[in-house]
Amino acid sequence: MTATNSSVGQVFDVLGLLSGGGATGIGELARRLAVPLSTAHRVLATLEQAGYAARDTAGKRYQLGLGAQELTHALLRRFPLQAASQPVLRRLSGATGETIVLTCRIGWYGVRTASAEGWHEIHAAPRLGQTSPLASTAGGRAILAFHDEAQLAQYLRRHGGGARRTAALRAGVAAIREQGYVLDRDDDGRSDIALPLRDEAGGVAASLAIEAAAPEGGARGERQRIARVRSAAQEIERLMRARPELACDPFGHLPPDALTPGFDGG
Amino acid sequence: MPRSTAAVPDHRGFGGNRATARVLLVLTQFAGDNASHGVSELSRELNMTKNMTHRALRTLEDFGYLVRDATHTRYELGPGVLQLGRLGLPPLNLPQLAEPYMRRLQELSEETVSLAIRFGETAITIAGLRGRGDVARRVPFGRAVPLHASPASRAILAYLPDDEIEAYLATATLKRFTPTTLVTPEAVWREVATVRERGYALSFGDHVHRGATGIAFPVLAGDGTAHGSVTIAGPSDRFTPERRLELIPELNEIMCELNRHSRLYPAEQPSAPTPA
Repeated sequence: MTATNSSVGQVFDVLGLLSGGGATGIGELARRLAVPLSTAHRVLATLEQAGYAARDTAGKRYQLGLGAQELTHALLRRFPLQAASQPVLRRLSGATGETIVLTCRIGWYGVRTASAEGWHEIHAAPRLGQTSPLASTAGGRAILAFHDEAQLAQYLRRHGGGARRTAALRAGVAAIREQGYVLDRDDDGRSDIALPLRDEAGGVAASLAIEAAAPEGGARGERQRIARVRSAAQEIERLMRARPELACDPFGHLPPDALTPGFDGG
Repeated sequence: MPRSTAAVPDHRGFGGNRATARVLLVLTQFAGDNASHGVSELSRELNMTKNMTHRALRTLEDFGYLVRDATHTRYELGPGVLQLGRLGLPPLNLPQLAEPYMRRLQELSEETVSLAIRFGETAITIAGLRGRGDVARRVPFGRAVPLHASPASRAILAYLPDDEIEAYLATATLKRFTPTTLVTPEAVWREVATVRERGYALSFGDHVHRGATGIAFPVLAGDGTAHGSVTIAGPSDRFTPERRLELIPELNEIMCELNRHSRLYPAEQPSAPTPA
């Protein structure tokens, strides 16, 4: 967290801490920012009046206010695919019972831009707005893997980590390109499958994923899920061909290195 | 319906550092439906000098909350905003989201406040707070009422897309509960238009006709359909139609806040698969 002396800087530092989740007391905020209690009070009062901080029901601890959620949603609305893909997401989730997520690229990050919640008793929570480096989610890797070599090298310089991790990422990318999709299975049995959404020029700035928290049907179920996401992805790609403005990347005019969300994610 | 009905707050009224308050006020303008804003238009809307507005925009750009658009002359939301949503918005839990607002409605009206959601061709009450008096309306937990009868149902029905209302009216038998129940498609359509125009549904004894007066507001989803409805109702000799009329502006204000919150969430999927 950047420690800033200016009043505005303090406001954004507090906002950054609050967006880490949970409700935080004024004392803890003051400690973590190394500012006097009176400063923390003033900063929180400013944020609360502007709707960016809110007190919990007991009135003692602070959390992110509605204004912050509204800004996140306003940012997500800038992706034309969000609204256009929603019916496809809902149909796919209706047919499979699982949570479906549209991930869009902002610089080197993937943002969960649209989702449809699964109806299975146990299903993945479709947390809209969640942001992480491309390599850290199935949806993000389905985008990253279809970047060209120069872009990939640029990403690895920024987010690759050590030589071992970089090599593993490269191997993963090669496998995804060959397979055409990302398949993530974790130890708890959760299974995520993600496919790239290609625009007319073959560029990939978005992906479609099915996230099964308690997948059914073993290997056959898995094949079925892959086939279903594929046909839904093709449906969205057809929409993008018919209406090229849907593929628009609202941040495409800016260099990806300049697009940092102000946290390291993970 | 506008995304936020609150008036633009005056930056001079803020406590603490005014320059900081101005920065946040400028940032808030980007939460609306317009993606990009220019300096002159913002300074006009916010009643700030161009110089102040320009400084606030530059500060927000420095912190990554705003970026220049492709023409380099206007500003748009930037990736810095992502840190606010980095954990993501959890899925909707309607009773939990509505509860603080329902408590305020109950404190204001002192009457029973209940929350209903749509289930197929009915509305079901799933939560509520009983009114304060010795005599009060019961919270009808679990009661399913067809979509054409009762304010709670009509407030949900009116916000369905026209073709879904059409489909409901074409197949449902519009059961008569009382002499005033709307039992023809024409009468239901007229009521739908009235509810849409007013923003709420009023009781007229069409479901329970003895001694209760009520008003129901939709709880809206992002697409403008209703997640459900909130009803405020009580005994007619205390919660008279006049008293109800008097309270509408304040009830409406609380419901606007609830809707500002609930509209962040898309409409929920039906909880069971639709048969192929």
